[in-house]
Amino acid sequence: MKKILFTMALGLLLTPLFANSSLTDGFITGNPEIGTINAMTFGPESILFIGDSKAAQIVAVDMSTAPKATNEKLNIPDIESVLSELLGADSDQLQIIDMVVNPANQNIYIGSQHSSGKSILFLVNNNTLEMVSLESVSYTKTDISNVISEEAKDRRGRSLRNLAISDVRYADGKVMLSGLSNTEFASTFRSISFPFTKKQDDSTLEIYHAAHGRYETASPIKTFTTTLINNEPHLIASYTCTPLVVFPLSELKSGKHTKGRTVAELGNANTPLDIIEMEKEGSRYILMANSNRALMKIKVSDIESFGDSLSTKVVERAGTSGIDFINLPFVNVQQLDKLNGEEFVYIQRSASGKLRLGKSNNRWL
Amino acid sequence: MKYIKEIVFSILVLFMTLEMFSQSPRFSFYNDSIVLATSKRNNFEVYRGTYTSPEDVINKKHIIGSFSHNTKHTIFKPIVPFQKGNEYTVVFKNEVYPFVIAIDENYDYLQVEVLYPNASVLPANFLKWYIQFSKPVNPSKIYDHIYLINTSDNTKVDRALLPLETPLLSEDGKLLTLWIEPGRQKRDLGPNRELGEVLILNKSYTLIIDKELKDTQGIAMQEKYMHSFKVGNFDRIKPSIISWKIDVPKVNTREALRINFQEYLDYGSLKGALEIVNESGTIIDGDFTINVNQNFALFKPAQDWGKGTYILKCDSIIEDLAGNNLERLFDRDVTVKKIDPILEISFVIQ
Repeated sequence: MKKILFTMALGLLLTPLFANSSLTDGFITGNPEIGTINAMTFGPESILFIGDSKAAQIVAVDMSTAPKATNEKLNIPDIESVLSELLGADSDQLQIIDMVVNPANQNIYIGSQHSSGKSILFLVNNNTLEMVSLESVSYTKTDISNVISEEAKDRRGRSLRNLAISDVRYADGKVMLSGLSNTEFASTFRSISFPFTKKQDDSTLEIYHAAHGRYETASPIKTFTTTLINNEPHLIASYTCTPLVVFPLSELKSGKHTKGRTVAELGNANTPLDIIEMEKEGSRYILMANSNRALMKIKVSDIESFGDSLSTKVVERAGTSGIDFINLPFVNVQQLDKLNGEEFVYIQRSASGKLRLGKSNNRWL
Repeated sequence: MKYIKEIVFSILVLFMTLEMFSQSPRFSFYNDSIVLATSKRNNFEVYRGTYTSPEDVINKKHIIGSFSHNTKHTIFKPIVPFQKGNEYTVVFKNEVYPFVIAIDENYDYLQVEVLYPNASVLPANFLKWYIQFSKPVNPSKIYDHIYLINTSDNTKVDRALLPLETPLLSEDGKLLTLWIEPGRQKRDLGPNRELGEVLILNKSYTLIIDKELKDTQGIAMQEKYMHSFKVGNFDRIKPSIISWKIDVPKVNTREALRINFQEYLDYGSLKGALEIVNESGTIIDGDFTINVNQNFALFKPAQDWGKGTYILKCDSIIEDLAGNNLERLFDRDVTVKKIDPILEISFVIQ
């Protein structure tokens, strides 16, 4: 009994110690020397993960001390002209690369790039943009240069191979990233444990998909998200050449060629841009922004019940096939993220040609 | 008394001069900074555009940048360089000072240096070009300036090229990878079944890069770039190094070894994918020069060639123009059995 009491007392004493442990414990303060912002995502504890192709690194920045922005009446009708004024450059010298929302406080961040190669992070506040300096922040980072190709680079002369990070996500203690290579139409997908360790236990995957059974091709993943499918963690990925594919996360193992289950083809000459998950009345939905299609809504339960891969030719509807999806009345959506349980924020090229930042809600679900 | 008038006049001139100087602060405008000659910590605001009065900028946002001060100057550095040829205005102490950073007279304008491949006939399932520019190119909206024209009727080919928000550029920003829409080039994918291949057999096309394409300083090319080609048969045969011919150099010289490919190969996959080892497996130091447009590569050794057997080792990722590599076809038929590729050729120097 004494022993039990002692153990309980010790447990109580140690509880605060463990309760205080944080994912940001190993972070240092300084300049992470970000080369380019290519893709961003938020993890837990307001940690912003930045995929940096130029410096071949993933940087995790602690954004928890950032004040909450005012975004009640969110609407920036011409976000390109705001950027143009702030940076003193023509709009064709600027590009919005990614937009993410910190789920902890709904702050919206926009990563932009100037033609000089400089990337700049902005916070959306009071319907304008405020620059967020990344020169002195609490951060940690990890090198991903071996994704690009390390083998005998020096001996064989300089390889041209370069990786453009196309998407980054965090789930279950892993930072996942997809990338496009400039020399091969193949998939580079990597999963890295977080907090980062000196010894990376990451896995590099090459993913193939079969198009209607007979022909198998390698293809880069353009954008992806993670979700539960039949209670198992899955990756929902969209390829550069339109198929929507699901993979159980448990099957993504280092060095293994993993074949995904194709659940839909999403139309001709269409490049997927962003995927998010929203909920309404207990049902989960995937929303996907596309370069050449309206915003698409897909019910997760339809993916769960879609037994087969698209291994045989299925009945086609308007150049698409597989599971059902509904086109929402949002065209030319270029950036998309979940703002909160009911709302999503998007950047859309409007009919007037202006790039608008706005929000909508789950009544469309 | 008679001098009082002159003294008053001199004082007036002095005050007017001081006033004039106070109204004409000495600004120097550069590509990446504005320098104000002042001993005080005088900050100012800079706006994009030309304005005639401070009221004009009330609803405008000033350019983001940082100030630094020393005993003689206040220096403003914009977060990105001022764009040459564009108009800007400094607003300082309720006055406006418009300026333009001029384009140098002998400015080195952006141009296309080489296209890989520059072949006049391309296979119907051709996959990608590499465009070598003379200087770093503006990555933003790059695909708005590149298109394919069907030469027979001079019409633009719809959805021919794969647009990416972040274009695939080399580290130095000078080499762009340009994909023909892969969904249409891969057999049996939706876009392929519905629209067919982008390039039609025996038709002629022209790749055009319009002269509005800009460099990273925002200055457009002076001339548009065009490359015409005809479409030949589909290439559904893996490249094979067995067909390569090697011109063996003489012993005790540093003559280049020449590797003749016998067909057009993909520039990007070939760079860094070759190495030469001796019989004991030691890598021979030297430099490769890849000339895919003439179908050969040269290897110049750092030391004289010695007598013996050497092996040229190739990476399996080396591709032909249709994305087929040494190991597999771009769109592999899963019913056909895989065969291990041959990745080494030996040669003897006598």
